[in-house]
Amino acid sequence: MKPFAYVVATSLEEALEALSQSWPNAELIAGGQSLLLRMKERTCAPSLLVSISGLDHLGGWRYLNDGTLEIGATTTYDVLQSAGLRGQHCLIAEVAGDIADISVRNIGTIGGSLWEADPHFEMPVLAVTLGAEVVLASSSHTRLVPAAEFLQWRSTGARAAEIITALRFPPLESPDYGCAFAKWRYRQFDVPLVSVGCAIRRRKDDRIQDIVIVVGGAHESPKRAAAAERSLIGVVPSSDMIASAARNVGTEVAPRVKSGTWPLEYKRQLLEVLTARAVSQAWSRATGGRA
Amino acid sequence: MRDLSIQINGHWYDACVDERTLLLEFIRDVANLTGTHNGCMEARCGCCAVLVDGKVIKSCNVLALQVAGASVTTVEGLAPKRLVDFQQVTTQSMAGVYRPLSVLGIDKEGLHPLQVAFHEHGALQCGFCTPGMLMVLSDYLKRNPAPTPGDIRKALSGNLCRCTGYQKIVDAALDAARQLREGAAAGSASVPSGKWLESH
Repeated sequence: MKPFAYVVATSLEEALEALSQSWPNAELIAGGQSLLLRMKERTCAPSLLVSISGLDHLGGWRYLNDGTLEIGATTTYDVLQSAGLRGQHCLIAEVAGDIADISVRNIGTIGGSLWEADPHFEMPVLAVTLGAEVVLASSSHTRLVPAAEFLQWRSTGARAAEIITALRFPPLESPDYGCAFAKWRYRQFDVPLVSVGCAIRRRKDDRIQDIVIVVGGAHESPKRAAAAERSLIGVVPSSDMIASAARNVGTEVAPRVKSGTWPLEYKRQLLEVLTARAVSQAWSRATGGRA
Repeated sequence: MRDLSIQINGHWYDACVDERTLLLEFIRDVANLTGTHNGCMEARCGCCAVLVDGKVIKSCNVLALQVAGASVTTVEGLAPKRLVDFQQVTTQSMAGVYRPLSVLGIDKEGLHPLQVAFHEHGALQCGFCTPGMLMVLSDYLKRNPAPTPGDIRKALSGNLCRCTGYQKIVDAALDAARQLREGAAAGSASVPSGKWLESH
């Protein structure tokens, strides 16, 4: 690691102040599980680290009046996995409980994984699937950015003197809504090679009204498979239909991000299998287990 | 350089350290507690696992500054008893101790049930990964007192052992879980307080 100064922020204002003064050579640290790995490899060498893990109001989760779930940026996966979330929000707990290993879940934070925007990470894919928004604070204003847009911006390496303060997930309590997440990794604690998130809204006549399929690990940021989504709207998804849509996803979002030495063709095949899995499970949840 | 205090196994350690000091380095070089092992330095092998405020983390991937003021438990703090009086715990110095307690003629009082089970099942060969295994399991068994073998394997996924093939570690963990459950049911304090011994 290259030498750096370390500041413990006692308020969001203080953190933003410290961040902007040393911009662009400052980094925020909460759990530091990704940041420290990069610093040890010297692929990133900030001159200042601003610790935000002590800021109480950035941790924890709560429901707003309209049913929106707000998760503070420094909430750890461990807190999320045992959080009593409502309706289909429990997928967030399910995914959080299966990220890396216990030691990482105890300290790694949801805000950190979004800011890191690694194409392989699970939480960015899930955030896009569930239509989450990122709450960004800077010294002058606070803004809400859709997770998809934020990740696309971050994945290019772009930065601004802003702090993710929270993620907002829209209410997902309706019984006609189902979502699922599928991923594949070589070892339990690895990041997945590819992952697929799927969210389905069911019509009254038991057909798909709306569907979102998001692929992680293939492109630089989570990618929606728009054409495959369109092919499933208005249909009763039989296993044949799901299989054919999954093949389309493999072509439409052809993997182009290398993961270690794995061939891209291997990732494409994984993608098809995982898509089929995620779509069938999401549909099963949207129909309350009837299908 | 920064002044910093961390409580390790009940003792406060104060030092002026470089900002880059990892918790692992603080434990080994400042507190001189060498039971926490430096395996990979990239949060893969789990040999450096310690509890911070009761939760297990990998100390090679956390800055000492991040846990300033926190309470850390290392493998030395798991139980008060020492089988042999070591100044520096090394793989060499431990070699004769990796046997069932009955063979060593030592009773299990004062040891953590996990330590007893690891002895009974021969759940280690070189012993390098054992401190990490013990710390992760001590956290995990508190959350899931009745695990299946699959649960244990999943819980230990971030801890690498290159000797045992894991089977004996899983056996030991299941045995320890049973001991802990029975201890809890009997209401006895089968888990030692974990207080660090002055004498050591």
